[in-house]
Amino acid sequence: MTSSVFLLALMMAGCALLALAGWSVAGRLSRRTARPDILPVTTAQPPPHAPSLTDATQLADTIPGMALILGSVGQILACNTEAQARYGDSLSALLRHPNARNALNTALHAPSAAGTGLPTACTATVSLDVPVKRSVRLSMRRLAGASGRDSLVLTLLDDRSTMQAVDRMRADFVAHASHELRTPLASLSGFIDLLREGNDQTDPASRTLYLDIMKQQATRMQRLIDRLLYLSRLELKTHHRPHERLDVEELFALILGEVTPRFQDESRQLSVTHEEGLTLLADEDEMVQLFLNLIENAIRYGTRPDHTLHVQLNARRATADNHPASDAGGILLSVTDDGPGIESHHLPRLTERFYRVTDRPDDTAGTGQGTGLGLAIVRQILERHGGRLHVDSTVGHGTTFLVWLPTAPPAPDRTGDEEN
Amino acid sequence: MRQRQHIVQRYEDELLHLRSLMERMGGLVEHQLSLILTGITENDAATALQAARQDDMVDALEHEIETLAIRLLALRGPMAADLREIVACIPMTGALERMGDYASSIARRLSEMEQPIPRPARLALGEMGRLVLEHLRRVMDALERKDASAAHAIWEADQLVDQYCEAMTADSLEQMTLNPHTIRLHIALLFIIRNLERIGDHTTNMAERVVFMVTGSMLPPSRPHGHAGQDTAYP
Repeated sequence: MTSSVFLLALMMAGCALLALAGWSVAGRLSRRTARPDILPVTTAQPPPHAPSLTDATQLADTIPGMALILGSVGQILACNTEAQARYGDSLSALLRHPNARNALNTALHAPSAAGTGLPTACTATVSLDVPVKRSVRLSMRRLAGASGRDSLVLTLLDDRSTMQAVDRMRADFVAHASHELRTPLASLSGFIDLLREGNDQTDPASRTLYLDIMKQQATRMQRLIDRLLYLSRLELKTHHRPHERLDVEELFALILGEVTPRFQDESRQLSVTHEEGLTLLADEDEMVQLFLNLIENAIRYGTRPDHTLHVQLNARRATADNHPASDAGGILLSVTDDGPGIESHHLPRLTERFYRVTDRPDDTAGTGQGTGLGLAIVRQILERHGGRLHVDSTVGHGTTFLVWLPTAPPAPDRTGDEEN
Repeated sequence: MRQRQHIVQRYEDELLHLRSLMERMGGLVEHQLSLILTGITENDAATALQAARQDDMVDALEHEIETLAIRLLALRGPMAADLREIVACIPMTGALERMGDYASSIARRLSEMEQPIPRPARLALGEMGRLVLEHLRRVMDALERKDASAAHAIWEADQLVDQYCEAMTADSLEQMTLNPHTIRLHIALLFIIRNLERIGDHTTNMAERVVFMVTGSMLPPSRPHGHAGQDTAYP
């Protein structure tokens, strides 16, 4: 699909180029018609007229796809809205990649083809790992006419990230699933063996115990598979920033609806506070999932015997004083608990897939253990929303998970993408 | 008059060329890091070794940038912002060259591993590497856009890399005490962790130069280090 779109874009570019050359021919002809006696009889191609930067910018803007005009040392001279909306601040990283540089060099020195007089086109595929994994195919052609330091190179971009992501998702899923399911599966078959060997002699109390453990393990496997699938689906969407507007008040109401049953107990309390009029550009379901995961963690790891767990959900505008990374603007949402806290050496690795804080003395059986994916999901959701996560924790006092998200722009309806 | 215009033109071309060379060098080192990341996460030493093969190109670029910068300084007498930019390029190209060296050294170490890196360590190294690469990308972007505040943010963010280094070092030491037969593996891992951390340090050096280049003022000589580790930001 995408490759046909790309071909179409390339053809349009070709047409536009010919049109440019056409103008110049028309210009010459009209000047010459004033003196019909020297009108050339042969149809030899006139030397191509050097396109100006304005012509080139117009050309890039006309192309229904992502297009750029590069200068002779690779500087971006023009960038159409499609390219800006899709890549914005990743453009520089794409263009300084060695593959892109090599293609540019080839394009700058490419000879003109005999028939059309057009310089040969060059292509390159560039893969980036950060900030999100991307794979982009670049096609470049020098505009005929100009050379040396005045060269202009038309560059078309075609995003191959989704295709690549599907492949990677499949590989990752198989690797993770086969590895992580092994432990619960081993436990399950262990107990099956125990039950079989006991024939009917196993006493009913033990049998109930075995079956309970087996049920727990099966539930764990189920949860693991669900979360892995959810994570894979999120990964596929990483490249598409959400555009829906979401009021924080509405979001918190949804979250409360989901978690209130968990706080019926005497031993847990939830308090919710937020400033008025906060709006995010965010996917509602994903945001609910994100906060469910954070609150779930607070309950799972914060509960202590003979201690009432207080969980606070809060939203406010980010200012230089209350935000550690001093990003001005945006919205801060936080989940704070007064649980036992997390030791500092775990903090940098918390959002890693399958990283679990293992040294919890009261959980030797591993039954209450999480999948190790909750915070990885949180991070994946934030990545797609252009947000950030901070964790503040003091052992003995509790933990705060701080989510920073960009504020939705004021206009209620917008057609284009953000400029930067 | 025409000659004067010609000289100004030449000078501007050379400055553009210098910027383009810096971009190219940054792009190469980013690619090296990216190859190493693939090498680590996919257990694929052959891909990582491609990074080592690019080292000559990185060295050649360093030489070319230095020569051009010195030539510009000597012949064109640049002033103010241009002067700062050209002067800053010299240590920055040095920092990039060191990063390239560390990347090659990681690549060689990966190819000499006798046993594959265990999965948890692979995931953690991959994350740390991604973080370092992300910081390098942000510094290169800050350099191109002459954005001092972006550069300053990276300078501060490097403490997360330090925390990662500390956490993973502690983890490796623990593994070595528990399973002495993995000592060889973990020593190699420690070197890789250390090299990644050094790449992070050079990224902050570059960030300092970008701040200097744009604002003309130096950042304080000591940077916040991530030892206390009470507050952690994820990219």
